[in-house]
Amino acid sequence: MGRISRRSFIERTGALAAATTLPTLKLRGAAQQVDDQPADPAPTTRITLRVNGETHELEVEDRWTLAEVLRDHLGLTGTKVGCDRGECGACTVRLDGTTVYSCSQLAVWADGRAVSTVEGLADGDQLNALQQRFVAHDGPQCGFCTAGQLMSASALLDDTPNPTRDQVREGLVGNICRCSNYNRYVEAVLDGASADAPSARALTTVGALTPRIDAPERVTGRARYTGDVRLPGMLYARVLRSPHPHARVRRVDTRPAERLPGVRAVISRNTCDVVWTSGDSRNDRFLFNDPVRFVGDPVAAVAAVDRHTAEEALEAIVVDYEPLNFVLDPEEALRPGAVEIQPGGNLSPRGRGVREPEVYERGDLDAGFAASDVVLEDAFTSKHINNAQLEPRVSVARWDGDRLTVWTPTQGISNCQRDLARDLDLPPADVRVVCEYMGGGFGNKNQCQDSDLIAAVLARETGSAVKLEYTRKEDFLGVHGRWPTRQYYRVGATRDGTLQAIELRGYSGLGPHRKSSGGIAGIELFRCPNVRRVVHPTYTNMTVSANFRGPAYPQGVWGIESMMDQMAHELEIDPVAFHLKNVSRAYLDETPYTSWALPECIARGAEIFGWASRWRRAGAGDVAVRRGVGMATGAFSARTGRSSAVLRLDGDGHLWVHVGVTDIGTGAKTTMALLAAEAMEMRLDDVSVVWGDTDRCPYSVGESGSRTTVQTGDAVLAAAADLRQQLVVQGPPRGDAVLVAEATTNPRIEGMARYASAAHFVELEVDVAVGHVRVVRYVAVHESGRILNPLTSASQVKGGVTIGIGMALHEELRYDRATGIPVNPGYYGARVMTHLDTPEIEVHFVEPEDAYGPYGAKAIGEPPIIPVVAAIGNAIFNATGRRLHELPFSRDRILEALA
Amino acid sequence: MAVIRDVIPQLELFQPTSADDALALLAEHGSDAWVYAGGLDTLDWFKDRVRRPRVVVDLGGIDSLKEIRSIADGGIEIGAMARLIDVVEHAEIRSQFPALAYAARSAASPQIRNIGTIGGNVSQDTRCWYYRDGWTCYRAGGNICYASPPTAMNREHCILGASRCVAVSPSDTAPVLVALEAEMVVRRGRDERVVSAEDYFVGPEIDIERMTVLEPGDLLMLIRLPSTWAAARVYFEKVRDRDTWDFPLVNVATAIQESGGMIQDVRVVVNGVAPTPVRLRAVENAIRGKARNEQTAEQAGNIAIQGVAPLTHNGFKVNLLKNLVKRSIRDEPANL
Ligand SMILES: Cc1cc2nc3c(=O)[nH]c(=O)nc-3n(C[C@H](O)[C@H](O)[C@H](O)COP(=O)(O)OP(=O)(O)OC[C@H]3O[C@@H](n4cnc5c(N)ncnc54)[C@H](O)[C@@H]3O)c2cc1C
Ligand code: FES
Ligand code: FES
Repeated sequence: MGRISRRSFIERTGALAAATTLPTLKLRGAAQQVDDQPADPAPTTRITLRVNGETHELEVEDRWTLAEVLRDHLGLTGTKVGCDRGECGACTVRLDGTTVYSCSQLAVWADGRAVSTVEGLADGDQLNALQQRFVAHDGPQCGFCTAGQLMSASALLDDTPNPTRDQVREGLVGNICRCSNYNRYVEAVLDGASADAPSARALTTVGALTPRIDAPERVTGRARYTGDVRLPGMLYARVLRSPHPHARVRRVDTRPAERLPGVRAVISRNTCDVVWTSGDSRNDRFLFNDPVRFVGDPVAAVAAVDRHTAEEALEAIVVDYEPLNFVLDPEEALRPGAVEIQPGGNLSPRGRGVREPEVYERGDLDAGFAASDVVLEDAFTSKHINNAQLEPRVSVARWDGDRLTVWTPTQGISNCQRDLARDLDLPPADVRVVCEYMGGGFGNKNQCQDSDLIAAVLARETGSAVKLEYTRKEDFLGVHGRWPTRQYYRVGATRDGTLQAIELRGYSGLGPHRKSSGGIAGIELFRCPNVRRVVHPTYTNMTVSANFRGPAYPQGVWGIESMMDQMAHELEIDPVAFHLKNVSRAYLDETPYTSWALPECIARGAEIFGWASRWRRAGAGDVAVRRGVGMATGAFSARTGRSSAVLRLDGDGHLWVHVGVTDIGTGAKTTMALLAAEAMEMRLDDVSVVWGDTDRCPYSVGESGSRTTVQTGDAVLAAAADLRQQLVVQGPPRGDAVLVAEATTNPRIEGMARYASAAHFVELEVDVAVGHVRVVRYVAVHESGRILNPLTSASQVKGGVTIGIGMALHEELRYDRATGIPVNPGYYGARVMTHLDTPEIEVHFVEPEDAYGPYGAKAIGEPPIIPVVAAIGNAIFNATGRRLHELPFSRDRILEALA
Repeated sequence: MAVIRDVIPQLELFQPTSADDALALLAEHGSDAWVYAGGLDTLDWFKDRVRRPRVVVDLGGIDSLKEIRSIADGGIEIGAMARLIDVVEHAEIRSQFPALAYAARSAASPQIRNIGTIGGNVSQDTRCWYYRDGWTCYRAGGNICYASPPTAMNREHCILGASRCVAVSPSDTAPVLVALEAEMVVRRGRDERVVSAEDYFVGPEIDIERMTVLEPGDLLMLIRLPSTWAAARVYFEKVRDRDTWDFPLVNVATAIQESGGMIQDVRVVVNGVAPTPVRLRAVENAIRGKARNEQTAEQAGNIAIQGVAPLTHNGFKVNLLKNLVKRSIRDEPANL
């Protein structure tokens, strides 16, 4: 039999030759010198792609995906890759009109077919109608999912011009938005009315419903994210990671990898002893550690001419491990005889050398319990879950002489610059950090990441620019997620519903490194004379844990609010009344708040929700589908602090606001522009923001702890005050002249605490036969001071609540206990929320006066996730009479609880 | 195991335009060749580098395999390369076998259904995370099952019919096809054989390394739905974690020929609980000839869980199985 041609229908490509045919491109990876190419070239095929109406003839490797060709070889980087596995939708394009995941599609498949990408939607600078609606309804937060949402929405509207809300949700369901702006995307497609209203305390610009100033970049694919950066001669890097949770690394033999054609450098512990200081605040965490202490701990890294060669080089590295005992559970890790993960023991030291748990106390606990009529005891277990921001970690590094530039998605270019300089022993001025756009982070892009350092070291070794991309699975294992906890509570109250005593003994699993506090917060929400909280942040061999939206709160609040709900139940008191009686009036019953409206949030929420008519005591009825309601509260620090801003007014009357923000999806750029416009009494259109580049921006606090609006905002206002003063003295600049004002502010609040707060109300149904929980209604009432932009603020609330519902119902990184290996890293395994799981979230604001922060604004990014798990847990209890003690409340747990 | 990979290794792609050519290629390359339908299961294996076939035979250019057509006796033939979306939208399928359209629509996400094929859906490999991650378990030629020990994470594994391996069949269309007595037409070279859907899926006791009867060189050509159950009341329900995307924790397809409120004939098939979709014959036998009511449904649910052997983390599937079987007999089909 003769050999069958690899291409039996190659003639099809001829039919399209009439269109604008470009010359055939011979493509190969990052294409450098010919002698550096892999010895054994992969089979290629000639194809014709019609992309957004333009015809390209290409010679592609058979194994290339369509996403790879669009992004790397045609430069169409508007299409994003979030998982590379058909599990997220970021890469959605249309193939002959039909939506497909371009990551899960070989490029040769698209031969002769029409591909439409986000770049084809706008007509030059003119956004199409759908894009305009995406902007107006605040569709993109970080914007990383936006191209995909747009492509699915376009396909839906072509088929169904006037879809119902459910049709939109069904039509877009193959597109994850981890910022969870699902409500907004649906609104945008429907172009329906939205419930948003201007701030009750609106000023001229501040308080209006303002679409993000950079939304057009995000809906057109023009926004350049780190993964879209492509430099001449750029190499691709990959990291080899430990398959063991704890092992000595006896030997790493990188020579077989180094010998492969196309490999330019291999680094490991043998050659690199850089310490990643922000990877651990208490111990030395090297880029490559011995022993390795979790599955996914880096062992070596490779730079090569293309991704494929780098991957092959990883396979050639030989590592000899000596497995050690390991421990996953924090309580077990503290038992005598447990394997020691860090020198000195598994209880993470409180300060330098102090190996004691974190203790907070007030009053006399024993007296408090003695005075109580009812004392309840219970325990709760929360899990490690991943931040799962849609953009995986990626770093690009380049050296120009002794000066390093790193492009990286970071929540703080200033911190990242400082950390890189410290770890690489460089003067900070020799490090430039650039982050133009980033695809979310929720806390795991706070610090400088090991990927930044590894890329920098490889770039120095090779003398070329290096791009290091983490895969989705690597991002789940190699970065960090929320810390798991176990919480033991004892709570006492008198018959009249007055709290007398609260005790918490808690354990949190840090993984093998201390990257954050491991705190368990929530007790401070309640007024109580006698309190004792002891928390043990503990090293384990699970993947590293650190900040994730509202870090110490959602799980801690779930614990304490479950206790309060139970207490109200035992005392036969309505939970709303119980809360109104017992919620905090002074921080830790001691320090007054600058302003405080939690009681008002509760009362407003109860009224809007119709609590009085909906609530009944838990556990009644045995119908197949049981309804229940629940409520919970939260609060989050809105403290002031240090940040800087530089304002420049040009002769033509345009104002430039230089601030070191990166805008992780919260709308920081827009907020800074709003504040400057308000303070300068200018139109928003006359204000531009310069951001995301340490060469062009002054210090800014990192976008973590919901501090940017307050801290960098204060600096913008101070600089504006200066600028106005200069205007009074000097008059407006003319011609080439400019006026410049700068400010570094660090306002102190003496003797007061500053907190944002929230009360959430949920109604849900539990289908007992199949363990399904469906959220029917969700009302979130927030107090975050004056709301500077109700549009983006409400998006923050909707997103935070939705991520919280996912935490409550689905998410968990599951471990095999025999081997210490997590079995389900990645989007599919994490079961993050989708369009169909997300209810409409009703958002309301209470806006008290507050003397601090820009125009009295407080934090809004983190508070929304805080009460959610608790509210859902309480509603499940209300519906079924069963309280669940382990997260998530997935179907297995519901079914077991009801069995 | 657990080493992170994400780039497709070298492969040589063949794109035949006829089934004959495809079969010839498969015959030539034997176990070095991989059949590529929509690629959605396939690419995972390639990217993880757990499977590295030298030759890939892409069926995407074979138009004859994409057809869906009515046949003389009133049934329907669905080409193996018909996409899930084609099955969902096909008017005849929707009117004669709505449960199949419904099941196809409940699989994965729209973008996956736009590319994924029915042939791929019934031939896809198990989702056991140990096996897919490249652990050398029984199914991968080793001699251990990592998912069954008490320390293992086996929430999504077997409660019935395990034999060394506890992985489950993941397909949503499979139980409906078994319930509808579908026939799978398989070719190897010039030889064609017809296998009942029930026998298409093989358990570990027959061959621990395969999920179906397909061996190297075989091509699933089409799936034939006889008219037998066309007018029947066919109930499909799937339980999964999220309302989309997720594979079934348990699904059920129950076909009932009903007359005057009595169950004349019945086939009850569940998936996600065993290595293959399983017909619950004991349930069928117990309820055939009975009135279709709450009591019969209850009885069916109780019989369904006889002999279950749950693992550490999947005890909930027992309840699910019972409740779903019960519902499938008692409740009205939702369908599209
Ligand atoms: C994230 C995700 C979620 C999913 N969720 C679900 C779900 O909820 N329910 C569900 O049922 N499925 C689900 N799927 C599976 C999806 O439906 C299947 O991957 C798809 O149907 C496989 O079809 P394919 O055409 O892509 O096949 P491929 O991936 O190309 O092939 C799958 C396997 O079948 C073999 N094969 C395919 N066609 C033939 C043939 N004609 N002859 C011989 N061998 C053949 C291939 O060699 C391969 O081994 C999901 C997949 C993904 C990636
Ligand atoms: S990148 Fe393709 S689906 Fe996630
Ligand atoms: S806006 Fe959707 S993932 Fe960020």
